[in-house]
Amino acid sequence: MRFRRMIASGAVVVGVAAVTTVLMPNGVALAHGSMTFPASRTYACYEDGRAGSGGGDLNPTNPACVAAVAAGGKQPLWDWFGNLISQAAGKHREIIGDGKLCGPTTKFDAYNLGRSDWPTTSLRAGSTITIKYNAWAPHPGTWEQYVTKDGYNPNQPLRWSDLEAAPFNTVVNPPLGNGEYSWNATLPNKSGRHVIYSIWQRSDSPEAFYSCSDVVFNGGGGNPGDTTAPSAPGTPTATAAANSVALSWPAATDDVGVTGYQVYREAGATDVLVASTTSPSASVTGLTGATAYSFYVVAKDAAGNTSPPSSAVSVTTLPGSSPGTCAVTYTTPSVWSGGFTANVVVKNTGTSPVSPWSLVWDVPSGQTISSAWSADVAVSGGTATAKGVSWNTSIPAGGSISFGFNGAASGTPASPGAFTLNGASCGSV
Amino acid sequence: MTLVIAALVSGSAACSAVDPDTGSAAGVGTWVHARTGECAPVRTASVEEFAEFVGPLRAELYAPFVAEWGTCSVAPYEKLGLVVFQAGRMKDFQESWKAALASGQVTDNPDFAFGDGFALSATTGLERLGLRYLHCTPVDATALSPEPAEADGCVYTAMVPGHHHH
Repeated sequence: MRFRRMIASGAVVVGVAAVTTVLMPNGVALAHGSMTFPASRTYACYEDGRAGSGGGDLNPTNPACVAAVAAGGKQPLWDWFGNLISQAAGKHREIIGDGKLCGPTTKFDAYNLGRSDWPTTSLRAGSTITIKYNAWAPHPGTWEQYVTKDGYNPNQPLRWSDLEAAPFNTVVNPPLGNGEYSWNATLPNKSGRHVIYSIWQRSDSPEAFYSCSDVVFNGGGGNPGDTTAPSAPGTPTATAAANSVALSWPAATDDVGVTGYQVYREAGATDVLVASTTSPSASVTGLTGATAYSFYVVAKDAAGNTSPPSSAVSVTTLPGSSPGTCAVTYTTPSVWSGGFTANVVVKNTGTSPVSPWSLVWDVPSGQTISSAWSADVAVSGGTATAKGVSWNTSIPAGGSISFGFNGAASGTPASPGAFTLNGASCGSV
Repeated sequence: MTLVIAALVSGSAACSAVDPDTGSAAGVGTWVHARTGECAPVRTASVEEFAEFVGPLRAELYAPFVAEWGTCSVAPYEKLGLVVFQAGRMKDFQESWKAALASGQVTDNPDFAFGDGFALSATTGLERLGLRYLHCTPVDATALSPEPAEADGCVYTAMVPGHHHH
């Protein structure tokens, strides 16, 4: 647990990008071509989706992000750093049509939607900020940052003519550190809602990356040159219910001001962002009864600086939970002499996520279970228990997960008689 | 309806295979794992999840030709799609994509990285796998050294090199 929290602590160094950058168990930061401060649409919606899912999936709650997922699927969010044209070669205005600037390919087309409710970053007009651009794969090149003209209408897809004629900021081969490029830029004198449009043209290939960052100038106190992170929030106190935990914590402090908190649940190899809040309290839902959890909190400020993590609080949810209904599909697509392969699909038919999940069944007489995939399966006393692995620890409401295993059996393998998901009996499909 | 009906080998066994069969999502995962050390385990998924992943438009274009698919994690992709096309349907898929281009349903090429009868859902950062772009629009034959694809008017080209992990 300490190791994972130290990963979060590293976010102090790299600012807002790092606290939300996906970290794999091997410590490789997963990203590579989008602005993280001010947050691009894809990055902002990715973070919104992570917070909305409780981990393991992307379920945005911001209406524009929801609409984008409905139109273009979740893959553009999983690949939020891949909004690119491989053969751009600097011909951006020739190959990208009006209305397609924010998502110039079919894959990212949904991020062209003209809407006034995309997630925004508040900035102070005329101030100097540190722009941050994720750089999983570093390349030499030139970044140009444009801003929209006065009178820009966010309800219309962005056109070239919406942009000021010249970029307000251009940088060549900016400094790279901690997995991101960062450089200072003086913001233009604007007010209200605008888009910062960034083009990263690699100089070692024709490939170019594009991002639209929705911003509000003079809207929230962006501080010129603020590089001071907030202090660590105090240790949270937790009040447990059957399927939720209410958390509150002593507020963090900051030289300019704390603008929000992110609550993480310690889980497996990668901690899970479970809530984002502007106040020092949060309610984490979708939990399993009689289960131990640990949570910690990170504070952030308007400039994107993030605090060290708070100390973690451990809490056990109350028993007697109603984990939700479920349905299990059990099939044996392959059977051979002495063995079989089983596939199990677990559908959460309830109205709240089941996270983490644990599926239990009695192994039919004469059977054994050997290797499993997409779940950890343990057998004890004739009872099998399957639990999610790092990437599928949560079953969203209405969603499904699947896993499989190989087993040994004499004759035709019998199917298990019943399954329970977190203690609740499941129906069969 | 579920696309995934094939028997799967176990993750540990798949990872050690020398000559994996890329005719299944698990086999593609093994193929990727052998080249990256990642992509294990593979999570097979339903056609509904495929549609949720790529969105309704691309699902309409891809799904009719997909035999099965799954996902795994390969840096930088937290969720990388492993897509197996139905045997002998690549030409049909390409003809369908050409029709979508002609009708204006799409304006660009398939965004997957293509192997022999399979594809990965992403390209950038995975150049080291030696997969190919699929173009059904005109390409610069001098610069890209295209090779004919299954359908007339479509070609495969090598990917832009040069992405490296930190």
